[in-house]
Amino acid sequence: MINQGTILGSALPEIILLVGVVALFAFGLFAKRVAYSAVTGMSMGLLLIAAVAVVGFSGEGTHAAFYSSFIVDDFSRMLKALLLCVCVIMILFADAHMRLADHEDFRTPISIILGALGMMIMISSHNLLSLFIGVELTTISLCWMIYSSHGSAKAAVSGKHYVRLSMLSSAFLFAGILLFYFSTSALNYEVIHWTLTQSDGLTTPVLIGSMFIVAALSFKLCSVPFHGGVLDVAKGFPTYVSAHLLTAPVIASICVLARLATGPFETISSGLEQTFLILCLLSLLVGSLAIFSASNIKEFFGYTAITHVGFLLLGLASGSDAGISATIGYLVVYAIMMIGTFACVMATQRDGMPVYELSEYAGLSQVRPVLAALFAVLLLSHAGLPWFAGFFAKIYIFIAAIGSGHIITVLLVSLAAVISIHGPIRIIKSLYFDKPSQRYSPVSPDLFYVMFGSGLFVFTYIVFAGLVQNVTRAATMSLL
Amino acid sequence: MVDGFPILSIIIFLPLVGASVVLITPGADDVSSENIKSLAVITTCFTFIFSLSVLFWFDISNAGYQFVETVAWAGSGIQYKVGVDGISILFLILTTFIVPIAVVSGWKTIRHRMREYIFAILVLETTFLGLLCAVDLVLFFVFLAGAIFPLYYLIGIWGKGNAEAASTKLISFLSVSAASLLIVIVLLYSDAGTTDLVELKAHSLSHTTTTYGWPLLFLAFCLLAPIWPFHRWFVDAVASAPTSCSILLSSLVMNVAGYGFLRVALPLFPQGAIEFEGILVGLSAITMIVSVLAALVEKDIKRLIAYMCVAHMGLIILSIFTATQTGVLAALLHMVSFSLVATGLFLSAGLLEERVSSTDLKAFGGLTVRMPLFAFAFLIAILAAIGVPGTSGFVAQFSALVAVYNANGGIIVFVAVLLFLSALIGIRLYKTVFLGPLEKEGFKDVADLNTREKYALFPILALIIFAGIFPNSVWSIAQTAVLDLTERPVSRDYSPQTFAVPGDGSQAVKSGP
Repeated sequence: MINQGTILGSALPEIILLVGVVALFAFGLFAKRVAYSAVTGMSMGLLLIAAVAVVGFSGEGTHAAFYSSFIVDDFSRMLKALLLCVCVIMILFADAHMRLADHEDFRTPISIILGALGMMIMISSHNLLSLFIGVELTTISLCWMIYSSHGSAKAAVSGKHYVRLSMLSSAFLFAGILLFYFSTSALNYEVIHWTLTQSDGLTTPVLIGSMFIVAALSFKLCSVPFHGGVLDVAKGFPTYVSAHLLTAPVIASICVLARLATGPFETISSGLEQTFLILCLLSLLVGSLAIFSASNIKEFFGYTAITHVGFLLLGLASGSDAGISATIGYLVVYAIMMIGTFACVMATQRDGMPVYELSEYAGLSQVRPVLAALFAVLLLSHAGLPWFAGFFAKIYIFIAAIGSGHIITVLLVSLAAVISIHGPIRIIKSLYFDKPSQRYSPVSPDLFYVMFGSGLFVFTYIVFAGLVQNVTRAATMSLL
Repeated sequence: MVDGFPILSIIIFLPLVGASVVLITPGADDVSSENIKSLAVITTCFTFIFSLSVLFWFDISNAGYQFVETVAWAGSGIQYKVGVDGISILFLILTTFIVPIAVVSGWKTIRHRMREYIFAILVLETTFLGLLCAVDLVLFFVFLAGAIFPLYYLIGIWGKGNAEAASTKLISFLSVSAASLLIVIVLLYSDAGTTDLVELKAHSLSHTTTTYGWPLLFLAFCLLAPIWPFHRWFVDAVASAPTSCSILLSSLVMNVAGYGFLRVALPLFPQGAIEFEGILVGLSAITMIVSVLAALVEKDIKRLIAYMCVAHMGLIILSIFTATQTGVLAALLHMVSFSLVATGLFLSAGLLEERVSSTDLKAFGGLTVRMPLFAFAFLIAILAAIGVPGTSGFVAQFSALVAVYNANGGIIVFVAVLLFLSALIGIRLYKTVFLGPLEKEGFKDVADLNTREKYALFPILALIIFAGIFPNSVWSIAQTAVLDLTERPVSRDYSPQTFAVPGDGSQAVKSGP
């Protein structure tokens, strides 16, 4: 039985965000001229305050609130802090884009905060209903963000497509929850776990229910075959939307899957493992092959993200504590890499306009050597070449997977990884080997700090890889 | 040497420090590019001097690792652990010796983006030194795979001819090699819970690890070596690379493969060499014959030398996997000798290319008249490649021949064909370039070696002669470590021994005659 904590002692960061976001929205509506810049600044401040509250003011150890439907442990603290930091950067990206496009809308930072709130609830959920609330809040805010971001006319279609798929995923999730409720008469994870261990566990409704829930979360994860919606949006909408869709929901969904796999689904782990492995192999296959067809840089990183999700799922499929720990470590590296990469994408501009075609990156190293070098470091890390963070993230996943006996899968996965190396290499080739064909605008300082921080992390990860592993191990221990 | 002084780390990371300084050297004009070049030479020379100091304090009677430094690093028992034994110190010194020469070789030919060029070479030196000193497999892998991208970069930007295709081919083959090596390491780790080579050697591996591990490891090093049918990337890369990169590829990357076989494959999978004997001997024989025949008809000097390198790599692998003391010692000397020879030959090819901007054999002829000194230097390198007594090549090839004959009499036919044909090729090469009348117009005023080229070429020739007259100087350093390596159960020509099949304690296999 989990210790019960007070509401304020457990959910203080969420409460801060909720009160703050309502206040900011009201402020934005009434403060006409200064609304945008003030709300943007205050949103970032709010997220940072919430991050501090997560780390410092959400109690010690593991405890639950709201009748055990909301849990706080080291795992949730670590990943919420990561998530909030990612969201701060996303507001920065949105700001950079909107000032450039001269389309300043104070609702965008608010939608990002709401999304952060939803995803925090997802990470902390310890009850299928609170999970549903979290997922819905996330979905609504993401759709809101997509609609208010003014993509191209063609993109509007993919936006609608995304919204429809989100509704489908909600339906899946709801169906899964219903199946679980009918077969176990419970919604709380602990009770479900207990009920399933009492009975023989692997009954058909439970199995199908878990498949539904995994499928619903796979839409957010953009793992193949549920990747369509996210990829379309990533391609057509402004860069900050792509960056947001490919990082924050992935973090939250992986957390939910990790919590489910170690908690209520533990009794059906063999079935779950197969599902994860199939999703993993499909994602890696599609991600590593389709990357060659991409001509748009955002589409390119969409496929890169799919490959990474394959690795994350492989970590989850390992099931062991080493697997979960490796997955969390991979998630941290993935989030920071993606942030840096998208900062590079946003910063590569010609005459003040961002460039998206891969061919337009030719010879960047000759004109903007620092930008090109950071971009190259991040790309090499995406490819998983040693020295860089991506490699260490991958090797821990491999160790966990082989430890659980998935040797053939690891062979297939590494084959896909070898193929997918050529994607980043192709961009590096055009960055460094080709003649510069155009003028590139100078890099704005805030984007530069983001990409520099990310590049530095990726480059120096080799030194503190062990340290990060200790942290992720501690987080994993709180989950088990 | 003072205990606890991190001399190996200093040697490994000194080039990297130099590379960082190169990166922040201000200016983009000729003066700054001169400064960068001097900085590179100073860094690499100091690295060489430091590595000599390691040799000075090295205890040749000790078979284990010396100058060991251990720092907890990536968690879960993966450490930053470096050290040298009798085998790695040879390659360490060879590497630090060759890299300054490689730097100097690009002095005039590299005209653009000097900063990035020097940066890549210095990073490459760090990766080579690191993997030679690594006692931890993950560290070994990090350095090995870290070398791939600088090589790709060097060939892609400064290469000639079909450089883009060659660099893509290089990265494709080497990334497959790295991936399979990585899986082997992960397998070993999940089996033994450590990646420390010393502890792994003492651990008896499970059946799964050997079943999957050995073929993958074999594939990894065959791709790297390169063994037929994977040798094309190497020939293409070497042919289109700038001179410095050709030198590094032919002398160091090939050594890495041989070193990997000695360091990882033989001690950890002693069974593998026996189970795979047929495949090993077959592949090596095919490699030798196919590449020496290709060299025979090749028209391009750089490709010709590259094929010669591949052919001799076949012989080296063959003598390593006799797993006898003679065989391994012969292979070591052969690797050292052929690295020097290949360096000398590629340097010469680079010199010729600088003067006539062509590497086509047809473009040359009668150069002795104009370049007597160069002709003499080239002759020595060719004689060493052929294996004429008095050069290192003779001792190396002769002892390899003996070792291979002792282990497997029939295969000697292939080795004989290799040696005969390579002699023919060497003489033909020398004749085409240097003998005959000087007819080509462009050669009438071609200059002999200048001071820079003398400084690059003569130390190699001196070492070739030295190692030819005193081969024991090389062998005495490595002997204890090699004895320790080959005294493990695989030795077949000394005493028959019984040993257990890993992972199956009940069964015992009788080996030997």
